[in-house]
Amino acid sequence: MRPVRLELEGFTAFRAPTVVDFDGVDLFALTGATGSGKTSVLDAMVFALYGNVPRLADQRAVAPVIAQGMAEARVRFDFTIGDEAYTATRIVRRTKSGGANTSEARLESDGEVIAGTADDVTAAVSSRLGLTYEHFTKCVVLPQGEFARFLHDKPAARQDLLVSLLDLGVYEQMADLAGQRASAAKADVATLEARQRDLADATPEAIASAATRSERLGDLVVQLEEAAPTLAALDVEMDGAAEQRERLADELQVLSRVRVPGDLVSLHDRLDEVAALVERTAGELAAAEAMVAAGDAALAALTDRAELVRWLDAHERAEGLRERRVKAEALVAERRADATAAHDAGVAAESALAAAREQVELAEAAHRAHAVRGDLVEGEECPVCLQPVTAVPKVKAPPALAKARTARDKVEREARSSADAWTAAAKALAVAEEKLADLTADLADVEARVHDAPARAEVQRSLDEHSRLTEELERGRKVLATARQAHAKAVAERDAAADLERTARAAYDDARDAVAALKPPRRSGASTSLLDEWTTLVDWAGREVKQRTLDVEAIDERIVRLSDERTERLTALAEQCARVELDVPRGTEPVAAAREALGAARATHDTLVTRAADAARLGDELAEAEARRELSHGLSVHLNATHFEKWLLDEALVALAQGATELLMGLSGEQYSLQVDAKSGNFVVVDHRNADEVRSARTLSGGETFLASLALALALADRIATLAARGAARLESIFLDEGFGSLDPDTLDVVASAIEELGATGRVVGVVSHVTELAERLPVRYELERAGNASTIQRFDR
Amino acid sequence: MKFLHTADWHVGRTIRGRSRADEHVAVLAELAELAREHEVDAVLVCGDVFDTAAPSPESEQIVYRALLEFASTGARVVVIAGNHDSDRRLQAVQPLLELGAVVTRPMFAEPETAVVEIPSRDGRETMVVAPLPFLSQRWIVKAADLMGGDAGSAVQLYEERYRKLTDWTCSRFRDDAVNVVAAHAFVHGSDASGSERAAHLSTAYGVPATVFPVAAHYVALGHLHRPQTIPGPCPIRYSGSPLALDFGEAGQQKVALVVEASPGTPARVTEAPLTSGRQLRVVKGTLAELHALTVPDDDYVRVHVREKLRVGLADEVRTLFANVVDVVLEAPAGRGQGERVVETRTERSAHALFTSYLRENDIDDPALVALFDELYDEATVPS
Repeated sequence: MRPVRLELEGFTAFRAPTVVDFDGVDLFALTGATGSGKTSVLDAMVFALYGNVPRLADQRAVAPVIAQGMAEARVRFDFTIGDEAYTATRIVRRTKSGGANTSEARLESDGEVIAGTADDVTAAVSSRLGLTYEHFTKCVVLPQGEFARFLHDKPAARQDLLVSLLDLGVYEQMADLAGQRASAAKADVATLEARQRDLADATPEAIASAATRSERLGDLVVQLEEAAPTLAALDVEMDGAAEQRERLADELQVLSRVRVPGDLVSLHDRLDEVAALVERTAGELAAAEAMVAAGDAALAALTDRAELVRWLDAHERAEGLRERRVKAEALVAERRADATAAHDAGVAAESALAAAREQVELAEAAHRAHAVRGDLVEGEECPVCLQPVTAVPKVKAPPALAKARTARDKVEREARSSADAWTAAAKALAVAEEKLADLTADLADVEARVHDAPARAEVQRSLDEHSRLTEELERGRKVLATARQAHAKAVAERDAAADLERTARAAYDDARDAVAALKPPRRSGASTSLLDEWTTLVDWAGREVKQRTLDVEAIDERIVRLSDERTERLTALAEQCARVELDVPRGTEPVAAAREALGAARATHDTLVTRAADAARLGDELAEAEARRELSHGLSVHLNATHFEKWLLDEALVALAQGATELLMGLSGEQYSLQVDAKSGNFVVVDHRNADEVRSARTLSGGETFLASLALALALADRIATLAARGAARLESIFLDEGFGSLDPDTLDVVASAIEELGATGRVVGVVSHVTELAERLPVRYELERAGNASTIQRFDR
Repeated sequence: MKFLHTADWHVGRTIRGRSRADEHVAVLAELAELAREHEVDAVLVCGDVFDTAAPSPESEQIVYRALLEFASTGARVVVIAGNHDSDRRLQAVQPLLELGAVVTRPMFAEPETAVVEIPSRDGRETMVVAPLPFLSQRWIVKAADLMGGDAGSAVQLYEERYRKLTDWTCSRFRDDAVNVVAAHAFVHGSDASGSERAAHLSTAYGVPATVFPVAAHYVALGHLHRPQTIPGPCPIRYSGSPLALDFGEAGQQKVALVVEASPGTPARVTEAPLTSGRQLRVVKGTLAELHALTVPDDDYVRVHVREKLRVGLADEVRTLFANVVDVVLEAPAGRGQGERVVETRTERSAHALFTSYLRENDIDDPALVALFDELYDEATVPS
C-alpha cells in the first residue's frame, strides 16, 4: 500500500477540509507540536482502510473520530497496491442517541465500486493488502507506544501475539479437531464394547445345544405326522356319530311336540249351542216386525193430526173473540157519556169568560179618563177634545181594575181546562170505537174458518184416538229393537265358533306337516272328525318317539368309546412332546406346535451363528477404534500449546531474531545483534563492540532501543508478509509513530540514519515526530499546526 | 590558479559518545594554516561539514569560524552541502556567509546562479566552479519511476539524470578558465571506509566517473572518507575526511589536497598531510599479548581480543589502554552468529514443520503424520 492522497473533513483535529498530498513521496515526516494531529493523519489512513483507529479503546465505536461539535467526519484515501490505484472513502455521522455510525463506505478502483459497506470495504482491503487490521497495525502502521512493545513484552504476551500473527491458530483448531476425533473414537470404543457385551451369548456351547434341539424337534415332527392319519379317521367317525345323534335328537323333539289341543271337545258342543240360539232369535224378530207394521197402518187411517189441532184452535179463538167484543161495546158506551158531559162544561166556562172580560174592559175605560184628568190644567187645551179646560172636575178614583183582571184570569184558566177535558174525552171515545171495529173484523175471519170444520167435540175425540194409537206403536218398536239385537249377537257367536274350528284344523295341518318327513299315517278323509284325525296322529308319534330314544342310547355308547380311544392316542403324543420339552398350548395341534418350535429352534441356531460372526468382526473394529483413539489423542497432545506450538514459536522467535539481527547489524554498523535468551525467552542484544557483551533489551539506550525495536518490527513485518494467509502481503509502506521524544544528537543520528536507510529499501516511510531536526532531514515533511481547535497541514519538499 | 580541496569534516561527530570537538578545532586550524601557507585562491569544501542536519551550537561555531578563517587568508571559500548537512540550514546562513566571502551552495540551482567564478589573486586567471551538492537518489528518481521498471533501469535513470544535471551545470565552463567540479557523490570505483552512511553508499545509486565532462580540469569530490583518485577523463579526487572518523579509517593518513591548474595545463595535485586528529588504532591479541602492547594515550583503540567470552571481559580490556572504544571478541566459538543455523521454519509447509518436529522428538509414526495432514486440510479448507 502506497499512499497517494488523503482528504479529511471533520476528522478528529481536522475540522476544515484538509488534503495531504503524498504524490511522489517516499520518505516523509509528519511534524508539529503535541496535539496538532500528527498521529491523526495516520489514524485517518487506517480508518479509511479498516474503519478502525488504533488508539480507540473500543475498536467498534466510530464516534470519537468525529471532530468536536461536528456532525460528520469524512475520510477519502487514494492509494495504490502494486500497480492498482484505489480509493477508500468513509463517512461517519453522529446519531441522535449520541453515538455514531458509518453512513457511507466505498472502495473504488478504476471507477468501479468494489465494496459498498463498512464491513465489505474492510474485508476487500484486507484481502487485497493481504493484511488484517491486526496485521496492518503491526506491520505497516506502528502505533505510538506499541513500537518497542514487542521487544520488551513478556514472553507469554509475545507468544500470544505470535500465535495470532503467524496464524498458528490453525494448529489449535487442529488440536480441537483431533480432540473431537479422539472423543468420537472413544465413543466408538464404548459403543463397540457394549455391542460386544450384547453378543456374549453366542458361545459355541449355545450353538451346539441349539443344533441338538433342532434335531430332536425334527424327529418329533416325523412321529407326529405318522400318527396323524389314525387320529383323523377317529375324528371323522366321531363326527359322523355326533351328527347322527344330533339328527335323532332333532326328530325326537319334533315328534314329542305332537299333542291333541285341549279345547277341541268343548269346541264341538259350542258349535251346536250357537246354531239353536240363532234360530230362536230369528223367530222373535219376525213377530215384532209384524206388530209394528199393524200399528203403522191404523195410525195412517186417522185424519191428519195437524189438521185436527188447527180446527180445535180456531174453535177456541172464536169463542175468545166473542167475549172480548161484548166488553168493547160496553166501553164505547161509557166513553160516549163522558164526552157529552165534558162538552157541556166547556160551553159554561166560555160564557163565564166573556162576562169577566167585559168587567175588565169597563174598569180599564174608567181608569184611562182618570189618568187624563190628572194632567189637565185650567185654561190649557184638553188633550182629548182640544178645547180649553175651564175647570178641572174633581172626580173620585174608579173601582179596582186589578181585582177585575184577577177574576178574568181565573175564569180564563177554568175555561181552558174544560176545553182540554173535552178534547181528551173525545179521543178516548175514538180509541174504544176503533178497538171494537177490529174485534168485530177478527171474529168474522175466524168464524169463516170454523164454518166447514166438524164441531169442536168431534175434533177433540179424534185427537184423543190419535194419541192412543201413537203410544201403542212406540211400544211395538222398542220390542223390535230388542229382538234385532239378540239375533245379531247370536249370529256373531256362531261365526266365532266357526273361526275356532278353522283354526283347529289349521293346527292339525301344521302338526302333520311338521312330521311329514317321518311318514305319518295317511289322512282318513273328509268325513272323519278332526278329533279322530288328531288321535290317529298322536298315537303314531308316540310309537316313533319310543323307537328313536332307543337309537340315541346306542349312538351315545359309541361316541364314548371313540372319545376314549382318541384321548388315549393324544396322551401318547403329549408324552412324546414332553420328552423334548415341547409345551403344547391348549387348543393347538401338537404337530403344528412342534413344527413352529422346530422353526424357532432353527432360527435361534442361525441367529447364534450370525451373532458369533458379528462378535468376531466387532473385535477387529474395536481394536481399530482403540488405535484411532490413541492416535487422535496423541496428535491432540502434540498439537497443544506446550508441544508443537511451543516448538513452532521457539523456532519462529529464533528465526525472527535472526531476521532482526540481519537488519540490526546493518542499522547499527555491525555493532548489535539480537538473540533470544534460552532461559527467559526474552530478547537480548549482543554488543559486538563490547566483547559480545549480552545485554537485556531493557538496558538499551534510547537509540539502541529504537534500532532493536525497528529491526524486530521490520523482521516481524517481513515474516507476517510472507505468511499472510491470502498470498504475499503488500508491505509497500511503513509508518512509525514513535515521537522520538528527546534524542541526544548521537541517538538522533542513529535514528535518522536508520530511517534513511529504511527509505532506501523502496518502501514509503513515514515518521511521526515533533523533533524538527529529524523531520528536516527527510525529503518531505508535513507540518501540522493547531490554531484554536482546528489543525492545518502544509507540505514542504526538501 | 591554486586551491585547497577538503571535505567530510563531520563536525559534531562523536565516537561512542566521546566528543571530537577539540580535534575538529585543531584540524580546521591546520587547514586554514595550509591555505595561508599556499596562498590559495580558493578553498573548496565538498560537503558534510556537519555530522548531522541539526548540529549543536558548538558545532556551528566551529564550522562558521573555520570558514571565516579560511576567507581571512584571502581565499574565496565555496561550500556545497553533503548528505549529512541540512541544506535549509546552510541556505539560512548563506547571505551572512557571503558577507564574509564564503559562498555556499546547499541545493541545486540554475547554472547562472549556481556556478561560482573566482579570479586568481593576480586577476589573470579565472576559475569556474560547478557545484553539485549531494543529490538524493530519492529526489532524482521518483517513486513513479521506481514503480515502472526494474531496479537496473532505475539505476540507469539515476545515472542519466545525474549526467544531465552535471552537463547542465557544467555548461558554464569556459575554455579560458580553470574548470572545476565540486561534488558530493558516490562515484563507482571508489572505496568506502565504513563510516559513511550506508544508505547513501548504495552501489545501485553511484555514478560512473564518465558523468564528468572532459572539459573539467579537476573534479573535487566529497562523500568518501579515504583520500583516493578515481580513474576518469580528468583528475577526479576524493580528499577524504580530515579526521579518522571510525575504525574503518584506522591507519589512514588524512590529507587535504592542494591543486594547481591553469586553463592550458592539467591540474597538479599535492597531498598535504593533516596531523591534528587523533589516531584510531586497532589492536589484536590475547589478554596476555595485549598486556605487552603499548599504545599512545591519545589514540582511540578498538581491541580484538582473542579470549573466551566471559562476563567482565570487556571491562578488563578497557583498563589496558587509555581510550578503548570497542572491544571485539575474536573467538569464533562465542555467542555470535553461526551458533546454529536455523532454517526459516515458519516459511516451510505445515507438513514439513510437523515431520521435523517429530524427528527432533524421535517419533516415527506415519499414521500420526497422515492424521496431521488430514486435519490440516480440514482446518484450512474454507467452509
